[in-house]
Amino acid sequence: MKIDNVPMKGLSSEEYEKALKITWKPNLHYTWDNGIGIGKYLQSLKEGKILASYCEKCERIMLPARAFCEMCFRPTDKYVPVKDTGTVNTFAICHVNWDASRLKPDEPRHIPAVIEIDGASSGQGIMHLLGNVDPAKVHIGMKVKAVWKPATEREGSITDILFFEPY
Amino acid sequence: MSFKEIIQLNTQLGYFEGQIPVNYQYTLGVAGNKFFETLKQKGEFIASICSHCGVKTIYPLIYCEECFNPIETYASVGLEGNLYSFTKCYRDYQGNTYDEPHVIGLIKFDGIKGGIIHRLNIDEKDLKLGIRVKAKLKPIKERTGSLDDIICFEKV
Repeated sequence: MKIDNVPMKGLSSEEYEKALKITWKPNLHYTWDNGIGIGKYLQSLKEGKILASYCEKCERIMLPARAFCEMCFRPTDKYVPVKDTGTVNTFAICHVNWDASRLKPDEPRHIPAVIEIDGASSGQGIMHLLGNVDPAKVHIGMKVKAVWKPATEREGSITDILFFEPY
Repeated sequence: MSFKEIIQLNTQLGYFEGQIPVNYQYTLGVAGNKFFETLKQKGEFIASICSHCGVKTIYPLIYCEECFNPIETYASVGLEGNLYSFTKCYRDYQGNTYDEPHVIGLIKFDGIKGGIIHRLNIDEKDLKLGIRVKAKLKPIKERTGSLDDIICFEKV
């Protein structure tokens, strides 16, 4: 018998309901270590600053701060603070949540964007959300500024910046 | 800096905890479905029989692993088998300690390739390789068509 003769087809919804199956939820709990470079960067967010790292050889200011320069593989030379303003490099308007559930028509859309931060080298930036802005008016090149959590609520996480808004 | 930096206070160690929400349903397949439906309704194990080379397999397959022949014949093998191997487990798969160690065995059936791994409920003194064991099933009303329909294997 050739493989062509073996009946192969997917299950219909009805057949799937009837079929015996194993339902399981694996425990995928994890702990992620910040490390030195990102650790410093996140710690500085708690203090309301954005920290970049500088490579003397390449003369690059890299954001987020990191332990080595990925162009020349040298350890970075120092940390430098950058501004909390920047320019929208690219963005998307999301009509769904992260788990693919639909946003209701009256709920605000999510606008994730890559923001080139002022003071860092060209192209260096972070991904964050835009807020306080009409989605139709968002454009590449838009000037934006970070909106921070109150100092007492900051915990050394990227969410210490609530979102970026145009200024 | 950076590479030469050392974190000296453990309170400065930063980390993030998370949980990746994943769940899945795995269908048992054509032969698997047949095996567990038979276990649920008739309370017996079935093996697949290759019509070309005669190899019998448990759990049943839809094709022969030896000659790749499609299989359409299945036959009952009852509930009795022989203890081929066993071990004692003190922890579950997540590392939690059991109150009582679980004894797990591989049960093989006469002249059949493959076998079933399940819990054993056998006295320590009787626990020997090769002894005859029989599956103890749940009452028919409580069976769901899964491996948990077998409570354990016991000495005959």
